Amino acid sequence: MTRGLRLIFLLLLACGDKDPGKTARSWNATLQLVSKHEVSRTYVKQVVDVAQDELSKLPQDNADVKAALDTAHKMK
Amino acid sequence: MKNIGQIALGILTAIGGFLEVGTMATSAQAGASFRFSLIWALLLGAVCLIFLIEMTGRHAAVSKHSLSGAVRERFGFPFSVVPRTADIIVNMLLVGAEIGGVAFAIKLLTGYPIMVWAIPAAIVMWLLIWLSTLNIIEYSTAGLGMFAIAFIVAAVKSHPPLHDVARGFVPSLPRDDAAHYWFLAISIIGANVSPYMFHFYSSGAIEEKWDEKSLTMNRVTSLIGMGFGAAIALTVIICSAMVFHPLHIQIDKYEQIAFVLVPTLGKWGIPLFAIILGICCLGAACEISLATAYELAQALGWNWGEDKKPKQEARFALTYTIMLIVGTILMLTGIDPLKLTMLTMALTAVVLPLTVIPFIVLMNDEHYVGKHTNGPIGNTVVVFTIVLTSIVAIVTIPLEIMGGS
Repeated sequence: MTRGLRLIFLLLLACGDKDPGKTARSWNATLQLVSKHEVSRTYVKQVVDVAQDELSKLPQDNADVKAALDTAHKMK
Repeated sequence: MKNIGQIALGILTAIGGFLEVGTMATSAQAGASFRFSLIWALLLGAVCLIFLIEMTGRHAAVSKHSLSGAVRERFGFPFSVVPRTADIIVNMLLVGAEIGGVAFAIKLLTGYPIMVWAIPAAIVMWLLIWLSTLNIIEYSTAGLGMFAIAFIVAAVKSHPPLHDVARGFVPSLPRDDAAHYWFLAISIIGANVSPYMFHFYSSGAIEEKWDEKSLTMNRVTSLIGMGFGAAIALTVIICSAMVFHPLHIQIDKYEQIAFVLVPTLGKWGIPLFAIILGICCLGAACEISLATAYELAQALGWNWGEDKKPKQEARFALTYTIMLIVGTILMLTGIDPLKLTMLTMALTAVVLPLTVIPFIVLMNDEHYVGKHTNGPIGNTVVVFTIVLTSIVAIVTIPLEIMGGS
């Protein structure tokens, strides 16, 4: 019983603990993917805005966050 | 010939009913994060849904009782208060998520924010329900929902490795990120098996005056319709896996999912995705609002029926109107539609046993279904669904609260 509760607790921690680097790399990859395809300017603007908003919630001294914000800035 | 037409239309209805914002969000997240590994969860959810929808139609056709009405008659009014209240709360959140889906689809095309489109979207839904009949709602949204076939085209054009896709049908343990894997697995099942579908299907069958002759059509509709709906959801997983997984993109926003058709269908990918999402969510929001009105009217003994004039069933019409107003207010608060969707999938899974447990009793009661009671396979599948849903309830909510999605 105790072991089961501990497992659930660890699962919660594992899930709640989002890696800012991973999130930033994911957004950077999203932006680079979008930039490689012919899509409407309206869509590009929406993705860049959302990416910047999400990245602004992450630690700004993280290298991956900086790189992703740089990509977003170039696409704007 | 008439039966073939009915079956074809039934299949269209099923496709429209299957694919909505929850299926789209969970399938896209699964493909992006775990490639084809979670196909088995979709398969399991689809099988459960096929059994439950078939039972719902059989119950309505033989007993001539709606699901909610039969529960009230069999177990008494006090018993039905808790499940009906729980269903109504979850359905309000679901309507909000679907209105968010429609508003996001229009935002994709215009660039104007979701909050601008939430009210117009809800007004269109309300007019559709107020002015038309059940058949028009079903066949128009479901027929237009055939745009979803674009996902099949995109999946084929992306040339997925078939051997790996086939392996996804067998449950497997994740190599890493186990918590997220299981969270998505149960979310996919929760997204597929929603109590509102049973109430909508059951009430629709009674409105269309099904009888025992309709049982074959009911089986075909359940099997092929839901099967085809699941096939389209499968192609969402495949497309997402082929586009996002190799780049390690995790899906946090709908804006990312919208790109899924672009690599294979080019610049038309975004408008097509917007049309598919918009139509599917429009149909689903109408279905959920109506299902809630059916459920409440049947539980409280009001006049009900989408094919009646609103003045003949004012309280029924007021219920779906309130549902749409509440859903719109939810979207106007600025809540993230994807987060609302994932939370609602979890809550949907929690309330499922409240609908399914009394349903098992009804499906084994000869007073209601005569000689058409459930066999051992049907009962086993339903019990399995309940156990599965209990696991979903225990695991999903804490994961969601801790920021799992």
